[in-house]
Amino acid sequence: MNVETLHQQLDAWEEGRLTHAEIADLHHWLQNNPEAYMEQVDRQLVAALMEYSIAQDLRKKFADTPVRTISPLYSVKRVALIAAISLVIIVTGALVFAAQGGYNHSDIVADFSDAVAIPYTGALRGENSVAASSLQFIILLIEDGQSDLALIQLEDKLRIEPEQSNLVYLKGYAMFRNGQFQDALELFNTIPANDPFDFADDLRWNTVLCKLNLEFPVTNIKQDLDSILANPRSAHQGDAKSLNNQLGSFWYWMANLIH
Amino acid sequence: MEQEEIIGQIKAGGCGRQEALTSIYQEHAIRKAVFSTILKMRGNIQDAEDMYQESIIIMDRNIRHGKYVHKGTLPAYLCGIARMCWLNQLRKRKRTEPETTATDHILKAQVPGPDHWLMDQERAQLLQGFIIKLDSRCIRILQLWQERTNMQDISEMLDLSSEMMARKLKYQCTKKLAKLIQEHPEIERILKQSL
Repeated sequence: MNVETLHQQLDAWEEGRLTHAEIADLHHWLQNNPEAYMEQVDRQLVAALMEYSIAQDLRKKFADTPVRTISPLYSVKRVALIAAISLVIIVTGALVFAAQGGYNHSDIVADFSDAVAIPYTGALRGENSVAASSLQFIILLIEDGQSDLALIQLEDKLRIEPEQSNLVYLKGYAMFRNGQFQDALELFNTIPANDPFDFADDLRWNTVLCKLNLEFPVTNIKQDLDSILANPRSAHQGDAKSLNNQLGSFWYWMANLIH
Repeated sequence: MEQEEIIGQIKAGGCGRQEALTSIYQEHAIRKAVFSTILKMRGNIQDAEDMYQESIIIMDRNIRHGKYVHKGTLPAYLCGIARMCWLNQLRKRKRTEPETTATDHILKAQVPGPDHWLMDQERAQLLQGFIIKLDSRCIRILQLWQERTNMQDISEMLDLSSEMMARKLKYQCTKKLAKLIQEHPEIERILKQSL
């Protein structure tokens, strides 16, 4: 078998055109003929080079082929997208939570509905005067839900003693209980800070509650709260702290945002 | 393009093979799967692109040589090849950058797979330089033969008068190239390593 015939046989083998017997003959020939074997090795080297060349051509072709780009796992775009989606989920969740039961304003008002400071009367201090008993009676009327009646009695008393600050305070208290928060606030503001009955601390607290009921801006309410919190002797420190926390909470802010 | 159709076209060689390979290369879903595999194994976008191309090249070769026995889908097959290529690549990098430890756990966790076609830069440049010097007509006919293109088709594609002429030219080119390879021991050594 000359070299060209050997190549033709090898081509036929690669193309699958040889019978089993012919393949066996070819193998036998290659095994027993070193020159033929070397020819086969040469063919394999050429084939290897061609495989490399084919691969190179493919790489070039791929480089010129337009494709849709794929972003890296943590590209700026992808991270921003994930952050945006997360933010939307968090905000939606927070809004739903706030809408369904977070600290909304009416909840806070309800929490502090009984926290209004009762005016100081002599009766509470153990005085047994007619005046003290009379004021105590008015307070009982107010507590009993008869603020209208209490207010009539207070008007009578104020006609006689219009400057009496504890009467003014009591009237304000009655109005507060009667739901007249704006009137109550105005009355509380007329009482001088250096009042002899020393209502300042209670007045400041009641002012806060009036503003809370009137839905004043939180910053405004907080100014009054801060002055209470700054006073270590204030009797309303506990309530003021609690209210301050609720007004400063994220959920209150969220609830305000959607209401 | 259906999986069977792609495999059939690659086996048939010629233009159909080119089309099939390009369509795989452009298939976004397959790209995404392979890229995801490489990116998850600490590769970057360029690594993923390289591994994607290599996996298609290896798949092409395996189909042409009758070594394609995968029973699953082509994307899964390509992901498997890409993963193997990438591990080999990491091993090579590990050898050249001994301080790098970021990929250690990946390398230790995997079984090595041979891929002799991922040559290093120096050897690739040598082969490339060698190929450029060769007769382009010879390269073309031998490439087509290697791609398992039918001899009759080769004769038509190269504008030869007959299949017989194509066979004769192919023989002459093989001999010519084999002689050139023998004259370049470095090339011969690289090619023998790849066998």
